[in-house]
Amino acid sequence: MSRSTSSPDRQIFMVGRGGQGILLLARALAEWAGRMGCDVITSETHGMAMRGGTVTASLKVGAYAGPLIPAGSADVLIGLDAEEAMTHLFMLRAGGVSIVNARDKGLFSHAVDAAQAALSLGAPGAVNMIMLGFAARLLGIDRAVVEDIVEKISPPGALAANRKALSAGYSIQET
Amino acid sequence: MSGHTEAPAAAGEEHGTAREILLGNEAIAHGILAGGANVVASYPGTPASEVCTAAMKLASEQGLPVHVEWSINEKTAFELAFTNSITGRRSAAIMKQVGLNVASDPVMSAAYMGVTGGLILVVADDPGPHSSQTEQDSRLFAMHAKVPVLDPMSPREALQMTMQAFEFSERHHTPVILRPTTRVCHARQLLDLPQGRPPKSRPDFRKDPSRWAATPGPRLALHRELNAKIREIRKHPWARPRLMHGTGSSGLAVVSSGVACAYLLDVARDLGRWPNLDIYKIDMPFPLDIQALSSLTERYLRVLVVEETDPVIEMQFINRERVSGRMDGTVPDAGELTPEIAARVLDTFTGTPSPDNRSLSSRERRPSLCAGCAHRAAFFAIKRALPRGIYASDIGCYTLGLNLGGVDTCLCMGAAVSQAAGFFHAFKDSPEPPPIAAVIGDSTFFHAGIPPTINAVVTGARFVLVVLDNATTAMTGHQPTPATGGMTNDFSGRTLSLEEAIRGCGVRTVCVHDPYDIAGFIEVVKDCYDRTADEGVTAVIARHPCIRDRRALKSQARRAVRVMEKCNGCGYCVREFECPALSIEDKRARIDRTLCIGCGVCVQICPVQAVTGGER
Repeated sequence: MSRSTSSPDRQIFMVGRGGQGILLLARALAEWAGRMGCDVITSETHGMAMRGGTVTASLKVGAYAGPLIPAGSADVLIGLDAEEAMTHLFMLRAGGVSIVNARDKGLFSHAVDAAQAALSLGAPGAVNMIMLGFAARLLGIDRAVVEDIVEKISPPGALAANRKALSAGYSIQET
Repeated sequence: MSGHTEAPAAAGEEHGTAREILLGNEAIAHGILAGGANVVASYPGTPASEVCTAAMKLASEQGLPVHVEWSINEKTAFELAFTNSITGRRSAAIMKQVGLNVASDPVMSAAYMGVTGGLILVVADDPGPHSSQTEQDSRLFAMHAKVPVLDPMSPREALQMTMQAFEFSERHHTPVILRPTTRVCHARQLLDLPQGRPPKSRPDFRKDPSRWAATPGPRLALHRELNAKIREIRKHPWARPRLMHGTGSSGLAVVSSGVACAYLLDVARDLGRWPNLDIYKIDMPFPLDIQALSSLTERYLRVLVVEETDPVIEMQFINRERVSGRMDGTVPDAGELTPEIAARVLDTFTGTPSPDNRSLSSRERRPSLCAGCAHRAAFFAIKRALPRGIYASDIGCYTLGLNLGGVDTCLCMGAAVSQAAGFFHAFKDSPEPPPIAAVIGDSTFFHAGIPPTINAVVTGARFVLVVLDNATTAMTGHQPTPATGGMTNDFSGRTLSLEEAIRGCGVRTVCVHDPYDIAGFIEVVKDCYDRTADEGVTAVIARHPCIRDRRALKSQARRAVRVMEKCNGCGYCVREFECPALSIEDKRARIDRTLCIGCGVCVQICPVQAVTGGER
């Protein structure tokens, strides 16, 4: 009795290292789902793990009760760190799509060197926004909506860098 | 697909209500203020911290006549909130589960006295544990204290329960515990914002010494009164299992509460492997309607209880012959429940073969102090100033000094100081007693470090007290401290410097030094250690702001740190300094420029001076 393919329900798993800004990425996607009129529930890692440890976030769009995605059932995995993405590929369902910040494509469905792109923008902390732009492009998310969301949720000091990084993510070349 | 989730009200905006995606903790803050609280008090602690942050922000934005404060510790927060609630006004105290240990003295007593205005005690539990010393179940504490406890499964439910809990508290004259877990606190969900109502403003304290100042005699009467309240509360609908999935006439029943129930509902719907199963939810795991539980064991062949973290509901079944759960090992007896575990437990309970038994998990990367964190410099220096020392430490980011070998103990808030004294007494008669340091953060010192410091001074202990002063409560998301000010929503009150507080505890030598200056800091710690022979306890304040504070980061020098040719790849910097921006690649140190903030401390620690870093 698995869900019909026409169901809009979608589960996105995100992983990275503490300090990479995965929470802002998750929040932006949650806002997008909310604006599409979908029910949405997310889960985030806070606390000690945010100091450089493994940080994960889950986003479930549809009539879900709980915030966690079971292993092997994510439709999309977004990785801000290649190593972390690799060790969490088991979260994807068969046929699920991985979108990763990585120098080499390897086993991933889509890879971009977002770290290098962020450095050349002079915004090394904006890998999350580059990946948001890239993932939004792949997932067919309306660019104007995402731009508006980033304006709304960015910390004031980071807004300019986030704008630039998001735009770079929309046009970045896959590796 | 059974539509088991509470659907969000369609097109909420058309009814004049705003909808927003809120963190569970923000939802609770909305509920507290819309429910009419006049006093909100908290001490930060993951996963509870964002409730008070959000309440402070909302109170300011909406100009509400509410006093919101970061209290010095959880005991003080609860006492403040409780007192407001015995003047007929509504209040909330917010803390994490181990914070409830700190507040347990007044909570136990307040249960006997009761309240006249609604009082919600928000206690966030941390099954896992993800960011805590223990996995303790505050529902069990609630049972111990005889206080009703609500167990929301989602941010949406947490919001509804918070709003309703004030009236419930007033109707039964009792504090109410709201117990969200990490996964509820840190879930975001699309919610209809509650419409606020003006809080009651007139305090009315009716003097009644036999209640508010009761001596042991009247306490017996209060205990009997409390038991009668609990008997009455057992009749509330929250005390009965509510059918969430299934027909209500299947052979097998599952009873659950909190986020565990959400996982059961999701896997039951998505996997569909268990057709002959009814899933019930309990909103208030204590006190329960015992008759309703008994009727389940009479009607069903078998009953499974799935709850986090201890068998609180399970224990309340009078006849447990047909009941499985944590007590008989059907559900693991420790650790967080997940959707995968929920599915496996349902398979075991129903005798369904599991289609896939691979246990899927990943090795998690260990956390470490941030690149450029002054705590790292302090630990590096303390180890060199007091070699072969014992380093008693405490709760905060700096517990990660573990990675540098700079943390030998971490018991609970404030214990660094009393454990340092304990080590002193244990070793004082040894031929070569080790040097002892108590290493504690600024906020932790104010929270629970002051009484043990006074105690150490007046009982003859000798050690160096190092207070890591980064001018914030960093680990939990940068809340203020008594030394920084800004503890309330209206910025009232004065500040108290660490120097004043430490001197006030009777410590005579109090030095202040920036640990970024490694050599200088080592000298200061050595000197303070030498003085312990005459003075007992001496103190060093390691003062450097948290570099996660954007303004602090901007105002400090940023050095162009480079590794030179002469690096021999010895790995000392990675091993002994453990900066996440440093690694060894191809037998040379490499600096990750996405992480390096240019603090330049590694320039000072390289044994062959192979790192340079001039100011940019």
